[in-house]
Amino acid sequence: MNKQFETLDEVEIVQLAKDGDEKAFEFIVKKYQNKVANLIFKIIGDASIVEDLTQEVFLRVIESLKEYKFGSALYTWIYRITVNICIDEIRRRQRSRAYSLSDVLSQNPKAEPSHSHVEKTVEQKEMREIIEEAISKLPPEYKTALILREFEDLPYEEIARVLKIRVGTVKSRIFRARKLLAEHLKEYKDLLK
Amino acid sequence: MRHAKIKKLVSEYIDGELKNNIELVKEHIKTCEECAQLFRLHSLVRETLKENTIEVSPYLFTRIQAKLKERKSQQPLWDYIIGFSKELAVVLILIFMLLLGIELISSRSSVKIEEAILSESPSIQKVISSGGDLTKDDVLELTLSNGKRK
Repeated sequence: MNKQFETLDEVEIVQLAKDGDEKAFEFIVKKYQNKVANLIFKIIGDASIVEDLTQEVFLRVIESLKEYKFGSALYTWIYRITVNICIDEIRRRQRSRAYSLSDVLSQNPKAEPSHSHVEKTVEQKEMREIIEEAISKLPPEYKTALILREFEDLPYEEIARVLKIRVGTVKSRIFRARKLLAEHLKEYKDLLK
Repeated sequence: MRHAKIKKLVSEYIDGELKNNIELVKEHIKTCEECAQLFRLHSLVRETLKENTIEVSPYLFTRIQAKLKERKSQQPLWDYIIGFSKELAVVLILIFMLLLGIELISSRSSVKIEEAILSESPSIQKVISSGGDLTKDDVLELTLSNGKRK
């Protein structure tokens, strides 16, 4: 990363980028690119499109940097753009039926989790795969809130700012996400023991 | 407090966001298997999410730069117009006000001209006031008065 910016405050760097300083923008991209990429990867769950969507996020950042008013932290603003792009992508996939019908149904918050009569053991599948699959089946709004909490370690207030929702809604989305996950994982009897 | 209510607090407790009833939730987790499972689930989800991460290509910024140049070169005229929309709106308002001013001034002067013509020519006033229904005497009078004016 460019050393001349390491001593500068983030507000100053953003101001330089707003004024058209390409090096300042490069510094911002390099600082946040992996965080943005991982957030996309966790929400969408498809590594093949992460690079393209990360690129799209930063193109939107540079194009709307003039509108950034320093009211929230830069990462909050960048994460908000990232989440919006992810939601657009999920909707696009749903429209083009890239998701299977069962995936789409499982993204409906009212959809009941599946219950298998045959209880499986953790040995049948690798634990990580099971958890990842269960997370991927969560409705996007629950999944996003949970990922911002568990992966990004953001406090409820920051999550509320990123998603532009109330703190109470963040609490209930995270609680419901966990409840749904527990329901999904019930069939793996050893997992939560 | 009932289990259903405490269960909702467990999620907040897990995230370190619970302000009150912390001891109550702690004690409840010790005795309630369902709530203890939520706690274990949180650890598993956290581990899983943090475990599998990716890194972008070192050429990402170069790709972004290239894409920006490409977009700028393909930017249609309409985007430039939108880019200058504020300035354009001010200019349009000024032009509108200018045209409105010109229109007002010209309509006032035309009224004045009409008034001047009417006051200077009694024959026109007469025709207007009679509604076009003139007697022979009126026509004679008007012809004579026009002849005098010439």
